[in-house]
Order: sequence, then structure tokens, then C-alpha cells
Amino acid sequence: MTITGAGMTPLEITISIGQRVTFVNNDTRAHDLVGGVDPNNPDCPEITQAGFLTPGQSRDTGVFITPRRCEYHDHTMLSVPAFQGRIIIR
Amino acid sequence: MRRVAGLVLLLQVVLAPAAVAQDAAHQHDTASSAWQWSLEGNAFFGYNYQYRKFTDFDEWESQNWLMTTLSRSFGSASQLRIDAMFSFEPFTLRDIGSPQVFQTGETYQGAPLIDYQHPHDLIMNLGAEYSRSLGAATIVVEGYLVGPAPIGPPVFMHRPSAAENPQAPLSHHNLDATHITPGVITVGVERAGFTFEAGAFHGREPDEDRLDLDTAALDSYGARLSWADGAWYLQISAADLETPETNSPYDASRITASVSYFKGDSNRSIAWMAAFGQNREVFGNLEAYLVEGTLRFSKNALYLRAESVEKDILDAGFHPIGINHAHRPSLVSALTVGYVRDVISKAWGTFGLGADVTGYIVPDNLKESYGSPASFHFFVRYRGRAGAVHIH
Repeated sequence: MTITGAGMTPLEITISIGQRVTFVNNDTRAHDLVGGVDPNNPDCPEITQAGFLTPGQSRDTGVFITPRRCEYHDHTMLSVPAFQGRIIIR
Repeated sequence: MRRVAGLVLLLQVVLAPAAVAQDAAHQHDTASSAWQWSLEGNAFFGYNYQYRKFTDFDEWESQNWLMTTLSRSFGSASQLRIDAMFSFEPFTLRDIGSPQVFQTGETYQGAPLIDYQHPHDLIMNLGAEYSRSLGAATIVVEGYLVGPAPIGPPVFMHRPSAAENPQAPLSHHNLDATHITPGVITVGVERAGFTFEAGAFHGREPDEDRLDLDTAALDSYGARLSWADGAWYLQISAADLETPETNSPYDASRITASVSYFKGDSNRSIAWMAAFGQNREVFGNLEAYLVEGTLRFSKNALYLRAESVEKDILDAGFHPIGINHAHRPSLVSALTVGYVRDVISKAWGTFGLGADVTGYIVPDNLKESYGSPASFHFFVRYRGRAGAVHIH
């Protein structure tokens, strides 16, 4: 998943159980990935492992071990739809 | 194109004090009841290089300001002063600001600024001050559409200890960020070197439109007690700030204390300041310590700044009411060492060539993302001043 000033690309991705997702920050500012849509009730801690990314930095999520649908948001752009997406694990 | 226009505007700023200086050369003696006009400008233009772990940043940019004052005495006891201060940084910096590792404060495109110093508003100050002597005391009343709230030490761009440094302190938003406050009324009493000021102001920091006035309700309050004697200036101050951050619905308060010292003249001087600031926010208290100084000898100036600042970087973002997850502060330390040499000195101003380097102590929770960053500036500095122009 690539992060630019315009948002995440792609917003949605489907992976298999046992895989990780790599987030790459190609923007000129920092971003902060958090699992779930509500910062007060974080979900999918595998996504939060990607966490805070400075420009140029990339980091993997944790390994997804159960089939489900994981929402995520960028904590620095909380209300911007282009920075909210999901990972579907099958 | 906008930045080219900004640089043209900046050249006009540079030339303006020169024109005034020529006028000043022909001034005649002024009566105390006449209007006096002064103009002062400062501009850095240079190359900013930020060495980072994953992506380096570099930028050609200019930090600058222009201040003009109109003043008049009424008899021996009263004085009126009208201030206006401008910055052309909305045109000479990128909209996101000047790259500066670990700098925070204000927003860009709705998101908190991280690793950038925001541009200052076009109109930094606009207001008036009236003072009247009453026996041994002086009463001062200030009203500003945009101006400094009675909290914190003098803003960095006006401090002799920071005058040669183009970079804003990392502690700017713990100490002196309220120098551009959209709406301020302050009342003060001065006596025997002591000054007590209290005022109401609009607590929200400037928005992302750098060209407008952000005036609104006077919803925040501050007070400062200071003492000045010769080379020394001490102050303690505190303020309650109504929702100061645009990306947070929570109020905050700030306390500061500082000691400043300046002695010398334009040929040889020493200036330093030590300061403490604490922002008390819903997610915790963030403290900042700063020591900075400038040693000037003939055409040379050495400057340094050491800071230790708690930053909310890992959890910065918009927090609606009710979001109360724990934040993880990061204690960042920085040391800047710089040198400027004046190369052209005329009656209308001085050009200097300078450079500085900043090293950082990175906390464990930021090491993976930041590594061991360093910052470098190479710049031309212009400073111009013209004063006491008599207005017919």
C-alpha cells in the first residue's frame, strides 16, 4: 500500500491468511496507520504495527492469521476518506 | 510563480528601509508632540538541508518580517504607539512551511504539521498601545487586531539572543507562539522596573489561510509579571487557552518563565536567554527547556541554541471530544551552532553570510523513524532599520 499526498493506493486490498501488508510512505509528510475506524476502539492490531511512518519509510503490518475484514485509518488525517481503507483477509 | 512573486516582494521589503534611511538623513529636529515613524526589517534567504533517515529534504526559502511603528507623545505623560508587522513567508515558504525535523504546531490541509515550521501570517501585528504616567507608575493599554498575548518571553524573531538564527525554536509552541494572536486587549502597570500585564485574547492559533485576519471572540486569558533592570529581563507568565489547536477540541493552559540578558552595542555584544515552558493539555503536560545565545564581535556573530522539548509526534492528529487514548510523548533534544559574518554594512542595512548546523538527541520511540537526523542552513541575512522619521 502506497501513501501519497492524495491518499492511500489502493484503499482496499485482499490477502490470504498468513500474509502481511507493506505500507510505503511516498508523501512529504508523516502518516500514522491505526487499525479500526474509531481511535477510541482500535481494531486489528496487526495494522497498528505499521504505525507511524516518516517520508520514505515503509513498514509491514503484523501477520494476519484469521479471515476477516480489517478497517484502518490514518490518525493524522482522521476525517479524510482518501486515508481510510480496509484489508480483507481470506 | 507565487514564490517568485514573493521573492520580488521581499526585495521591495529589503529596499524599503533603505529608502526610509535616505529620508531620515534629511530629517530635522523633531518636537516630542510630532509623529515619529520607524521601520525595521529582517530577511533570511538561503538553502535549508535536512538530513533524514529515509528521505532528505532541501529547500530554497526565505524567513522574513517587516515592522513599522508610528508614535506620538501627548505632553510629558502620555504616548500613543501604532504597530504593524508583516511577514512575506506566505509567498517565500511553501504552503506546508519550512522543513525542520521534529518541529510541530499548526496544521496543513487539516492535518497537524510534523517536521515543518509553519509560515507566519502576512499580518503578524496590527494594533496600538497607549501609555500614561501616573506618579511613579505607568499605565499601559494595548489593543491589537493581531498581536502578542501577555504570555511568554519575547518572540524569537525579536530576541537579541536569536536574531541571527533563521530557524524557529522547537519550543516555539511551548513559549512564544502567541506572538500572532488574532485579537488581544491587554492592560498593564509598570513601576520600579516591574510590569504586570493581564489580557484577554482569542486563543486559537492562526488558520491555514495566511493572508486573512482570524479575529474572533476574546475567549482566552493570560497574565505576565516581568522585571527589567539594565541588561536583565525576567518574566513569569501563564495563560488559559481556549481550543488553541485547530485539530483538537480541547482547551489547554501554558506557563512560562524566562531570564534574558543583553549587553553591548552594534559592534560588540552578548545576549542569552534561558526559558521554560509547559503546555498542559488533555493528553498530558508537554515541557520545553531552552538556552540560546549570540556573541557578536565586530562583523562576526556566533550563535547557539540548545533545547529539550517534549513533542506529541506519534499520536498527533484530530481528536474529537471523547477520544481519550493515551499519547506517547517524545523527548527531543537539539543543539544548533551557527556563524554569521557581515559583508556589506551601509546606513540602510547590513548583509551577512551565515551557516549553521543542528544535531539531535532522538528518543527511543522515534529512532526507527528518524535515525540520526541533522539540519544545515546556508543563508544571506539582511537587516535594515530606519527610525525617527518626522511626519509633517
